[in-house]
Amino acid sequence: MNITLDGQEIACSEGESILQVSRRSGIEIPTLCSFEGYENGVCRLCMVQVEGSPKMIPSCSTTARDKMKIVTDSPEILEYRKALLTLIMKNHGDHQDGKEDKCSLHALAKKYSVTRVPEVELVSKIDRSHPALDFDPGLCIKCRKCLVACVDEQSNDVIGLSGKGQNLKVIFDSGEDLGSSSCVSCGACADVCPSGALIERDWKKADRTVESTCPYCAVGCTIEYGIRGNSIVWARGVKENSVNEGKLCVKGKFGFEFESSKDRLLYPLVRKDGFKREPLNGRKVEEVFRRASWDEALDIVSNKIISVKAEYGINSIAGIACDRATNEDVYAFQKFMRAVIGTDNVDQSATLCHSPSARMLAWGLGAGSSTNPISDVINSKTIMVVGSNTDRAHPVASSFIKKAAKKGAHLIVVDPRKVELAEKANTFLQIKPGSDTYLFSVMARYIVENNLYDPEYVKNHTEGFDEFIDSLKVFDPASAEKITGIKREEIEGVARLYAENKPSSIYWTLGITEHINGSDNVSSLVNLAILTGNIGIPGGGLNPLRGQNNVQGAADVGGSPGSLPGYQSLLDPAIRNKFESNWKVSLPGEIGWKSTEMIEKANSGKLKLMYITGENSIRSHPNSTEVENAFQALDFLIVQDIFLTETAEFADVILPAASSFEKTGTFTNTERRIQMVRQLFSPPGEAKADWEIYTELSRKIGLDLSYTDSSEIMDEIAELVPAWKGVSHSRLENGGLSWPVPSFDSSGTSILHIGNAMRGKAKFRALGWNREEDAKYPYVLITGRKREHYHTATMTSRSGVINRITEGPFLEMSLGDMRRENLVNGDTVEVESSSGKITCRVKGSENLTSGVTFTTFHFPELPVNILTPSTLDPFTKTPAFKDTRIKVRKIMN
Amino acid sequence: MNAEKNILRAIEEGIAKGKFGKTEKQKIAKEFGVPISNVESIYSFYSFDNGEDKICTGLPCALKRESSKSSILPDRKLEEESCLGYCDKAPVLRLDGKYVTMHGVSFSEIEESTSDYVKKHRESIDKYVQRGGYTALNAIMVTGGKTETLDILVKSGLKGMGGAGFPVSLKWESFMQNRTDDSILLVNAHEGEPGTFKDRITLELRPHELLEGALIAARVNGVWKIVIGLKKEYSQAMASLEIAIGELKELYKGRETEALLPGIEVARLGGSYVTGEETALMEGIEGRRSEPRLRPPFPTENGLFGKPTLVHNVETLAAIAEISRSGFKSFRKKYCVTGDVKKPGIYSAPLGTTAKEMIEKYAGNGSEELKAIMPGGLSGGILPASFVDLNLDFDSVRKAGAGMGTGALIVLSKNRCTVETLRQISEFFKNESCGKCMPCRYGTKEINEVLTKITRGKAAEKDIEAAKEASNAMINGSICALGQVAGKLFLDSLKHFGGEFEEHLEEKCEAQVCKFSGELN
Repeated sequence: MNITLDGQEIACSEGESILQVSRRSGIEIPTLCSFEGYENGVCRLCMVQVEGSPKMIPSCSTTARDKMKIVTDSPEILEYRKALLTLIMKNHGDHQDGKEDKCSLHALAKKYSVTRVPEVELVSKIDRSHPALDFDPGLCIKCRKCLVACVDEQSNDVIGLSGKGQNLKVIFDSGEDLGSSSCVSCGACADVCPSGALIERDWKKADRTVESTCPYCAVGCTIEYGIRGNSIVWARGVKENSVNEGKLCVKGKFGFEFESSKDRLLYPLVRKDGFKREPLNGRKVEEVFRRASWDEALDIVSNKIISVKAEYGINSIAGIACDRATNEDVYAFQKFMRAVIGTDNVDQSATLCHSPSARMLAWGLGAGSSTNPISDVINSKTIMVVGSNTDRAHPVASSFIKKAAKKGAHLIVVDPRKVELAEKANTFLQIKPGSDTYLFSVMARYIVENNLYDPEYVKNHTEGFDEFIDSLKVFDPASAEKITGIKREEIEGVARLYAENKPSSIYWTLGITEHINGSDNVSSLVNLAILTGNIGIPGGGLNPLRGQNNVQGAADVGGSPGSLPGYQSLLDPAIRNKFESNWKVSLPGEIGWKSTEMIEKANSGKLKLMYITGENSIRSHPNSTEVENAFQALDFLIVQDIFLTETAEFADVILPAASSFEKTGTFTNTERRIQMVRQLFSPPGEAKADWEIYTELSRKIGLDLSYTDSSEIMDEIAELVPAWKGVSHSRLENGGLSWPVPSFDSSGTSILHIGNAMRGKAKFRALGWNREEDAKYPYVLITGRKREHYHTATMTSRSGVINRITEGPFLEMSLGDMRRENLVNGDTVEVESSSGKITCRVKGSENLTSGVTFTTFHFPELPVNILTPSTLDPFTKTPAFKDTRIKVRKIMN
Repeated sequence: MNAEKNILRAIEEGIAKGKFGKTEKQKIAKEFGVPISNVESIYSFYSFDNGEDKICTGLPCALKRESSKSSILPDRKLEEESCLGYCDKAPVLRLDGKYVTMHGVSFSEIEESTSDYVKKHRESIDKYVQRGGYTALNAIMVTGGKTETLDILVKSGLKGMGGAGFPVSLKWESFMQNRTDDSILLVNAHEGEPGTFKDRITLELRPHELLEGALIAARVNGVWKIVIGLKKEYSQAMASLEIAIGELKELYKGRETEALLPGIEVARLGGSYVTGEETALMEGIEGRRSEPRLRPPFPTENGLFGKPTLVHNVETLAAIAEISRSGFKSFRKKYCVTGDVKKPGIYSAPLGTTAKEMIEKYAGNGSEELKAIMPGGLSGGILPASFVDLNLDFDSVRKAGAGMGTGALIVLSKNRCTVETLRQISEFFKNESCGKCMPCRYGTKEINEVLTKITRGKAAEKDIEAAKEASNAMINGSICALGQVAGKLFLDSLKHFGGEFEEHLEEKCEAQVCKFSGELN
């Protein structure tokens, strides 16, 4: 099919609009309202003519037909556009503080030599109630793009229209000001607004822009950063070739200010003699630490490593890799630990979060990762979201899920809390904490007993079915309600939907994994998926939503004990051989410790030196007191970070690292997509990229890693890891690749386990059941996230906008429990667990059932991990952060 | 459709119960699983008729109020309504739920607006059958009758009477290409063009004409569902229709052809002028903001509830019944004649009757000399008195550069100021623009501002230029006819009455209507 555009013949495909064809052919048709993928069609600027006809037609809503001859720039059209722009400009007020530079209308008006006639002064009251966004109704041209962005794309559902005709207005909720509306500050409205009516308050014109990958969660949004001088002045979601399709959340949109924070570590610091390892407790940094040159600091570190290794052996040294660093950084770190130092004691923070997912997905299917891309949820007919506050922790993934639900998929949310996504769910199961394995196994039993499973898939693609069926006897449907809190019929209904209304997908986060039986919980989901054949198909799959930006990648490139890059076993002779000949060393012969075990080993005196990179362990590990004791018990502690975290305060040497804005490399997102991270600036002060630090240190110790550029590291990974064989920085330029990428002509693998599972046959896992209650501690405490913050808030708390949005931390309790404990909102309580005590403020929540409490772990003023005991999953040593037993006592004021 | 729940209906029910605030809106949002902003946006689009006292600001009423300068408005709050549908009884108010005509300081209830009158004068099915009603339908139901009916229609060249004047046979052809088993026939009974009240009268007094026409159109085109989109304010029409539909069911009960009758539902819809635009009507019936849709797709491809939909105006369908029964010769167009005539009213006359004849023979000359005619309501454009011999049929009027529209002839006498009259019309278009597309939202405002400036003595040549440019943008770019005709009307009036505009710029108003003073807002 061909059309002719201004005399130029262009091939086009079925269903393409004239505007789409013209855009990709470089013929510019002006528009103010067009929103890719939606019929908006209200600005009417994009009118064109069919050759020979005076009638104008809108190019945005007219489908190209074969042999159409279109004129886009006849004198009539140019005159029409000028007249329309004149009209629009008359009704568009004046911008504040040079912000017309962001106004597409101004740019167009200029192009068509239209100036605003300041005949009528358009004064309007600017809505400045929001912490980061302004809304000036006098600039608004009611193009409705913000509505599409907020409602149809993001499903945040805040923006609407009010009135009609001359009184048409953009409104928030039922007419609230933006600041008191349900706005979640994703900024999508400002990103698309062509009139500058909705705009970032701090917006400034950029000198240059760079596209990179968001430094926050593992959705891995592509962001375009506007840079002015040495600062980021705005961030905007990128639509093309991106995971996020243009969407962002508050963190990606506004959480970049930490980069230029005055708190950044600029120079290496060395603990002064005579100061023991303890919190600063209000003392100035200079009182406890002294500035050192890189040369001196690395000398101290390398000498210490050499002497500790000599005195106590390789098992006295351990390192924690940073999951926010790049794949190249983590690869270099694990190589430094394994090849330069010679220990396998290298782990990452996955042990604190999704290790059970990775471990049991690998056990059952052969790959420790999610199976389907996020955008594929649109193909699901049934979506089950378990133990995930997706709206808060993975807002952009949540937008995709909500969009699928709006399109008709049946959304099931399973969570002990009535999380925001539950509001949009067709079915919400408010499960009792810790009973996931029971619930999903009862579902499996119902599916088996009612022949709802997929016999073809089970027969040809699985193993262990008989033992599995046998194991289901433990899970009694009659006891299900008592154990899970969910009615039997409801469980059966959901089971039926999941098995029959296919394809069905499952999404989960740490509500599944952070339990003493987290690995079993994951397996109960794997069992369901392979039982029903919901694996290896579009719209199906098992999808843990990973937490940190590069937690997937850090594991992929060898950041956990026993697992060489590419999940290749340290103990496999052929693999060892390959790595030893490439690295020219002999590898450690035994599997090292998990990070939670490292804390135990330090406390028991076995571990003497730790090298912690980018993990704020004191705040993120369970039982903070034990972690502090462990650090005090060490001979030497090296912390490498971008900020002086609570953990860094314990260090003997602190090494300043570059943030992801200051180096080039890659992150791997939750769907295994390896994406470029591009340098925006040089690191501040003397900070360096992690891989550079390891390289320099390796030289001092005597085995030179000799990297000069992060792309060399990627090339080395590609050489050693079969699944990354076709990966190089240059191949990742256009949106990245999902592993496995087995060759240079492979375009990656978006869905895993098509046909057979990667391990061959998918394997059922027989599960058991045991859960103990503790009468002494009647409440279960669950920890989680806010939308605005991220983990221990080292980055987010240093972004002004985000701090303005967030209110401080509370312990949330059900309204009934509040009454029973005689508490009102704002009361201070003492919270006690078997591990420790803290005091905090309390707030009632309608989203909790009796016996369940909740708080976040973001804030230093509520150091909740003092309470969490070191109860660990037996397989992955993952702590039970979602199941701390506590009691609560009101403190009299 | 009535049974189908939608947000608009839920809002209406909520309002009917009394207090309707944020809590009630939240409840509806929850019930339908939509954001509250969505409920608010539908709620704020419509004006919900709670029996408020109203004043009709439609041109026929405005003209009559102006000529009887003694008229004093009652001392109470009156909401402005752009057409109350009793243009022949102008000037009209609605007080305490009753439609009244103003006579100086007194009011008299319009007899034709009372339920007693409608009940008494409504044609029952028996009377309709006696004069040959439903024979054409019966014939079609027995024989199929498709080709014959199409043949008659093609020969007659019948055109849609809702305003656009699109040939019925072409519309059917296009529809048949897309027809599915669940296609819909939508009857556009959302009359709103000032000067037009013919459909109300058909609905109230001759409902079977419409029903038979609709059933013929449905049967011939293989449609099983008829939806009548009725203007909510037409409550007598609703009552008549309900009775008529009951009578119809009774008539066919037990007959062999009973099963061949398509279902008929009435969807009552408030809303404004633009709701009468066919796609806006569909949006409204589906419970959303009643804004025109983008085209393509056309209703025949993707219409009401996404189904291929055949849309016809009331008068068109009544004509189809008439023509099927007695041939095209007997067909009479219903002309509504208002403005400066002795007897404003609705007159059936052969299509193509001249304006002069309509005025002199039917409605009676006014006392004054003729200045201009508007052959198709406000939307059809304006022509000077020299066009009085114009045949009022689609082609002739189009050739004269105007539009037949709904066939509402508005007559303006010499003592009218064209500029001031146009200013009043521009007010109507500005208020009735739904605001969806920018050319119309801003263009109707621009024209109104310029005309106001002229009548207040604050305009210059460049203002007229600006309004001309705006008009061109509206004609070329507006989504629906509202903006297009509003722009065209301004250009037409400059063409025909340019001299009067020039005089006004020099603060001369021959009719001595404009005072060239006063503020702009």
